Amino acid sequence: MRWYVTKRLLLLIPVLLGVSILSFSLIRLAPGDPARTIAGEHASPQTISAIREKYGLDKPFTTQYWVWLKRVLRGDLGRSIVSNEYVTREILDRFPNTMELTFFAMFIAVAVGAVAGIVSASRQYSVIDYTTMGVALFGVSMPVFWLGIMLMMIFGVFLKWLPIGGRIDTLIPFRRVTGLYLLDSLIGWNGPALASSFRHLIMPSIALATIPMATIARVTRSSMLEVLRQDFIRTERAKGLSERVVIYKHAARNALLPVVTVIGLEFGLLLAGAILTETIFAWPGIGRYVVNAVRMRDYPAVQGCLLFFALTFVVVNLITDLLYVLIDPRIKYE
Amino acid sequence: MKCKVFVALVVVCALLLPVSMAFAADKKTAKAEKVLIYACSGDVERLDPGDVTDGESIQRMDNIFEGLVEFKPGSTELQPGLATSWQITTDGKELTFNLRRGVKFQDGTDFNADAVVFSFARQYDKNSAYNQYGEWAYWGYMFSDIDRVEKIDDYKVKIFMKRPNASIMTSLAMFTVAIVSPANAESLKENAFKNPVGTGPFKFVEWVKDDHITLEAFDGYWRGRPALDKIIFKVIPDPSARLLALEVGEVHGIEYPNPTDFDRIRANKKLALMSEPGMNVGYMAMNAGYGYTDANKNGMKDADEPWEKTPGYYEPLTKKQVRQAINMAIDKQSIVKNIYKGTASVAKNGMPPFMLGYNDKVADYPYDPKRAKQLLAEAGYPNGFEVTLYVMPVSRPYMFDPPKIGEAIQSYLGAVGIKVKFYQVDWGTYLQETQSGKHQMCLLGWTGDNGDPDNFLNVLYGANSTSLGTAGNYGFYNDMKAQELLSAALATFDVKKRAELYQKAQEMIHESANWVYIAHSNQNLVFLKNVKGFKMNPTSRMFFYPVNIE
Repeated sequence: MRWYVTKRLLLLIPVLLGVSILSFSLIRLAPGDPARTIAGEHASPQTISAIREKYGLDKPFTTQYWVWLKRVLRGDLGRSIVSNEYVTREILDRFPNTMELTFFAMFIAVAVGAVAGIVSASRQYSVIDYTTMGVALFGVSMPVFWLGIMLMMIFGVFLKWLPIGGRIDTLIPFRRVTGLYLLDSLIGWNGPALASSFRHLIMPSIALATIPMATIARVTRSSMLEVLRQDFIRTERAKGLSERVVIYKHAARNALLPVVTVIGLEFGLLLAGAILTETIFAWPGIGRYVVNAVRMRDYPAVQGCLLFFALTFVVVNLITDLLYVLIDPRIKYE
Repeated sequence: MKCKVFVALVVVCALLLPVSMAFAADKKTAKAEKVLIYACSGDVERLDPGDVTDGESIQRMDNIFEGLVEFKPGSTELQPGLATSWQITTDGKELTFNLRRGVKFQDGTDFNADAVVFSFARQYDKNSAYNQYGEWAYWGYMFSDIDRVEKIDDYKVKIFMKRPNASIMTSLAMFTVAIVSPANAESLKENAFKNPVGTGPFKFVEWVKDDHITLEAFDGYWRGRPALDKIIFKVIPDPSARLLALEVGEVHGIEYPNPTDFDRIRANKKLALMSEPGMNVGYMAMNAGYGYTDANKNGMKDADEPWEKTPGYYEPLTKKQVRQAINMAIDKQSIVKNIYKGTASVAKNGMPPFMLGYNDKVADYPYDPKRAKQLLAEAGYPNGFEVTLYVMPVSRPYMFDPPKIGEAIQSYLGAVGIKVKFYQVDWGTYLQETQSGKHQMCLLGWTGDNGDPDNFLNVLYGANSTSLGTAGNYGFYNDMKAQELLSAALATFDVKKRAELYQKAQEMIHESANWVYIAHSNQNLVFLKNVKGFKMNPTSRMFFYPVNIE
């Protein structure tokens, strides 16, 4: 098992190298000049040239890549051309924001999606089955920005139950420690901050959860259907176990393996930031940051973020694979 | 996965909801504090006034920092700021400023001549230890006529000019040359941009990236403490979400509302829509065919730099009659009404009406397609011709929806026999190609930097600005007589004389018809009705010092 984990971590090296070459090339293939973007529309050609020289943008592609790679190997992702801040700092300032939203959204997606899939499978072809699958499809088909605005109007404007956007009421004294506001509120023993950050999380999490929820529901349903057809289920029913025990204790647990794969994949994808949700709900996440960096042709920021996303995705998938061992004792890695 | 743990988590979260509702602190503002929350469309890039070019950063900086001079509220006229008075030599090459005494920076240090010299020198002096910490993009563009700034005594500084430049006074009111605390810069060095310290009415408290910036009242402000205790600039990128936040009272003001929401805003008695002309112009430029190569890079057309054809040279557009015909073929009123949706005013000159020297006597070309066809026939194009129009790929303050405007122009010109084809590239390439004169016609515009007419008329319509590769004069209007007027207006500090020269120049520009001036876009803000004292400024800069919440 240790060797398996080590092997997977070593595989990170070619993956990250490949991502670095791809991200380095792709952003430079996009037309547009970052020096001009930073200098502003009215800048003189001399100013633009000076900026280009300062950031090494006038050097050949291979030189730029090599200089950048050497820095990355020393743990330095460089400075953002737009903000002049270290890219690592920019990522660390925003990634916890996305992590908190993603955790919550996945929590809702799994709670609702998995239960919906189990219920649908146990009542196949019933009204409940068609309804739950229909609702799941609705969720994934609706554009997230429309859904977000609708949630805001219903719960924020008409019912006035929930706040419109942001992470926390800016008037509440609050100390940011980890960037995970629920945790920071607990650390600071700050009741109003905990309440406010929780309330701010609800709508964006629901909007974001609709995307993986449908996939989780459908995969759970088909996996459950397969498990329910197995002989051991018939045996349990024959033994006189209640249907609830058969479904939730025995069938569901066996059906979980493929669902865990999907959860891992969706989680990894969402950690790269959900740009539309973050924009609508004014959530200061990494998705908004990287899209803005691409728009501004902030090469160091884009390259740094893409490397970071690749790393996150690989680690999340490794954790998912390791979870299999916990769920199914038959699985062993060597 | 342990189901019981999972179920327990679900139950905890379900319980948190009603418990958190009980706290519901969102609607309560801190009782003793007056906090204005202003919703912006984006976050700042940097917190150093000398090193920013974007509107969001400028907004925040304008409430933390001040300059030697400033604009009178709601106007482009100047008034004393950190300088109480100034003298300019008759040759315009030395400007002496007497500095205000008793002013403190927000870190408690004194404002004096050393701070002024520091704030300027770090931008132009390559030997300054602080020059490396910024790009100073605006310096090269707006202040290159400044040779050096020197301290005369603790409360007197002198600016030495390389050549007289009457627009330098309004340039000195720009955020770029706001005075920063040298002590702060010295202690933080490369990180000073994250912790701004100025002399302005509000001091910096915190910056949560992409979320908000908090400023609080500076008790030691030389004009007296502001009425507001705090300002929070909150980032809400989506315009619909911004408006919803305003409607429920989560914020007190918003910028860039959607024009399609204006009726809704006007119908809401709790909201006040403020709409005034912006310092901009949107136009379609027609390349009249000739520019020059600025071989000695002095920014001027010299005798030994001959006129040469631009890459986008196109015979029909070299004829004034054709350009005038095109002006008459386009219904600008309709474009402003239906595409700008009333958020702009029709333009007839190349700068907004409130600027010094605006010539209101110029009679705009009427919308007259019949006359346009006649002119085309007289010019030798009775059946029209084909032409390519560069269409901007981005929305700009002066032109919200360039593709729609392009389509409208295509339709109007099609009616008089001119077939328009579109050409689009990314924004950076668009600017590069138009500055090189590769276009036949192009949509573009300008947002003013410093409130001075030179910043419009000379930069956009002067013959010196037709240098291939660095042109700002996209109509390639190369009349040297007009350039003489514009240069003379820049070289004199006599306001009346400047106005006369600019008015004459506008007549000549209008007659040559290298541009179809389309619109001056309005700047629009919305506040809750209980927010009092805010005054819109033609320069679109935001000053919250006089603001109070009732």
